[in-house]
Amino acid sequence: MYEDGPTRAALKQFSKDYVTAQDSIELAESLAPTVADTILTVVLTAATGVGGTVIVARAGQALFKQLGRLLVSLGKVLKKSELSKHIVSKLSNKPERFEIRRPEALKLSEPKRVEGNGNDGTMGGESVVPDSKGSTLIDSMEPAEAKRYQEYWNTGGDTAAQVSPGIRVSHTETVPSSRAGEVYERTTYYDEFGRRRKVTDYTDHSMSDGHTNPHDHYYDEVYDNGLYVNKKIKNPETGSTTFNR
Amino acid sequence: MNNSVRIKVLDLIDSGYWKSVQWKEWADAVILKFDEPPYWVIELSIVKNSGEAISILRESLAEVHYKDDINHKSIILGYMFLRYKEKEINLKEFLTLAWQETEAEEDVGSPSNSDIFEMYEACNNSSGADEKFESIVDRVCKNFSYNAECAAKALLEVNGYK
Repeated sequence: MYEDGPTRAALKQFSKDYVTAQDSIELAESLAPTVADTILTVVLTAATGVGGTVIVARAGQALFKQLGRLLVSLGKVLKKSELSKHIVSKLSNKPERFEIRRPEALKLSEPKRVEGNGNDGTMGGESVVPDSKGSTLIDSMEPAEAKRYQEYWNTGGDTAAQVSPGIRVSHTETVPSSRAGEVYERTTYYDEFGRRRKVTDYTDHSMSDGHTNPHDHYYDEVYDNGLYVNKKIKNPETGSTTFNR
Repeated sequence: MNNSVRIKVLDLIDSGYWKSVQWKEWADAVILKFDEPPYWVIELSIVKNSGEAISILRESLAEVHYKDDINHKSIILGYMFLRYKEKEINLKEFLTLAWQETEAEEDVGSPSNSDIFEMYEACNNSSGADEKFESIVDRVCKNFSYNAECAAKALLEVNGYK
């Protein structure tokens, strides 16, 4: 409270007025209280019901008690306000309303391509760069890990159903198809909670009858046999999971 | 009415085998038959499109935390096959739908995603009226016979409630 300019000025004036209002004996005993003394006195009066120093006349104790409560409340508000200022000043060095900022979307780098070894930039087991001995990344794994790795890529490496909230901007990646040999570009879109909502495939999967290039898939969280899962929605018109353009 | 029927109705609509005419007819018959028909059946009788119908059924299954051991992929593929057999869709359309259905998750007992694509390609490379095409049709029918059987059984159970 003492650090707050307007409060300090008001209490200083209060101290002067109070002292002026006392008779000469009380004035002599008060020894001209400072603002800090006044704050301490009223707060103690509020807390204990008894005057903290001799400046408090018995008749004025009730009023001091009331003032003390008000000052305690004011102190809390000022403290809160001061803490907020500190947070803001550390972030921006200027007085502004503090708000939590959404994290920036991650920018993913282009997949690396290595010439001459069939690497398609997908990290798939078949695409791992062999070393001078002709062994691949899978060869260096424990059998269980290699199996899990291979199984994952055998699923076609489906795009992530959930990412960190705030990443709404899509990212494009080169992905292996569930069919051997096919690699295509895929863009995934997420909602504000990081849930997958749409995927655009830049291919017709060699099925030009059923797919345009590009075509979209829409996703939603649906109850599926005991669990809510992020699944492709079907087009009510065709019963297909593909939404052609 | 048990939950098994509810999920089988979902399969029928999800596969596209039942259109609004069929599910409304079924729901109306169930409403007439039972003194206190389930609420989801009443809702089903008034929805207009398959998307809404599927949402109602999924939500009602979620409310009862329904879970079963049957792989419904087999049944859904079976209904898709029946759509082809009943000439609602042609062979290429059927194979495209079946390929999409097995794209994310395959089913033991049903043709694999790559098998379905092979059949699709073979179909694409034939004129549609030659011997080669007939052999493709035979192969498709043979491959999806298990699914057709699963779908027929499920349909029988659902219709038993009318």
